[in-house]
Amino acid sequence: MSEQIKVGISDYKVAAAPNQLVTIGLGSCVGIALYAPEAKTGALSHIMLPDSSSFSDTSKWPKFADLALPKIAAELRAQTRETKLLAKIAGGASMFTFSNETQTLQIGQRNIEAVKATLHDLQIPIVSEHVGGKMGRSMYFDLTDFNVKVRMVNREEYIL
Amino acid sequence: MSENPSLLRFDALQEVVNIGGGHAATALSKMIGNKVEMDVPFVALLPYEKVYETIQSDDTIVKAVLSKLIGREHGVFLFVIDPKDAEALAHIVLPENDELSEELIDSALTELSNILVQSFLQAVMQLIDKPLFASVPVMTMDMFGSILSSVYMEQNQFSEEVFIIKNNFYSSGRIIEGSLYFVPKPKVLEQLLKELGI
Repeated sequence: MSEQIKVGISDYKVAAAPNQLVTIGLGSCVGIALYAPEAKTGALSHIMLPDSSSFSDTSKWPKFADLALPKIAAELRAQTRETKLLAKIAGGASMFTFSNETQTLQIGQRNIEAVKATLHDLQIPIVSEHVGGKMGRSMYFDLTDFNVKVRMVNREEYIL
Repeated sequence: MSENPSLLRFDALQEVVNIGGGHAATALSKMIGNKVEMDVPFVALLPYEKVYETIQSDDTIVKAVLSKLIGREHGVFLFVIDPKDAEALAHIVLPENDELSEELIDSALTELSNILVQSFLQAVMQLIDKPLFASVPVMTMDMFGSILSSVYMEQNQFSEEVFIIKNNFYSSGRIIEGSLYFVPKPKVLEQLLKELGI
């Protein structure tokens, strides 16, 4: 029997095949699916912020891209003894756009950039992505085959 | 005088939302020519998980209208409604049309939300004796979770616990229901209470 494990905002979970990791309602947050293909084990992280440096309290480290991804990758590498991990990412939307706003300051965009930079530093390639735009997303990550479905409202399901 | 100062502040805040919401309900009721009722304002600090458990599930598809306070950057108002209720509301304000396009429904919804926000603000302005302005609203339809978390984050609220301030409005004998949220920037509520002399 496979189980569906839910990952909340600012949280992450590790699971193995045949289970599924799910996160609902990504807006400007970014969901990162990390996978160790030999062990068929992976993690799903739901980060809220790009960078922890301007926060004094970082006890909730899974919230920040710069803290969460190195820790989760280390945990996954230690657990599976696989160094070559793969990533798929989704989210980083800007749900409401006012015409007079510039794109540069928006948090969704900053989250995407931080996730990409951190994964690059960790030498984890991003196999596929569905990021940006104005729509919310939910991720359904099947640990059996690294199939990650992105569901949106009034749009066709996208398979990462 | 309350023994617990934080309780007194909580009560004061709830009262402000009650006055604003009451004013908004009256304006909306005039606009749609139907009675509009309101619950006691909901004011609580909750983790996201609890919000999705008790208020609205994160995967519920809703229509949401966002209005920003401009000038002093206090925060935003968010009107959240079930798409079916939005359509029912549009039929009340546009009775001559049998078939309403999605565009027409959304435009009616945006306007109704604007009236709620403007009349809410009018009541609060009288309380604090300072001008408050809201931007032209923008609308979207998406998952409640995506919308709510993003709106809090845009207001620099990055905690896993969010301060929920909302009014529930009902019309046509509780058949139509909508919620108006106020999402403040950090420290705005303290400032507001100070201006009220609390």
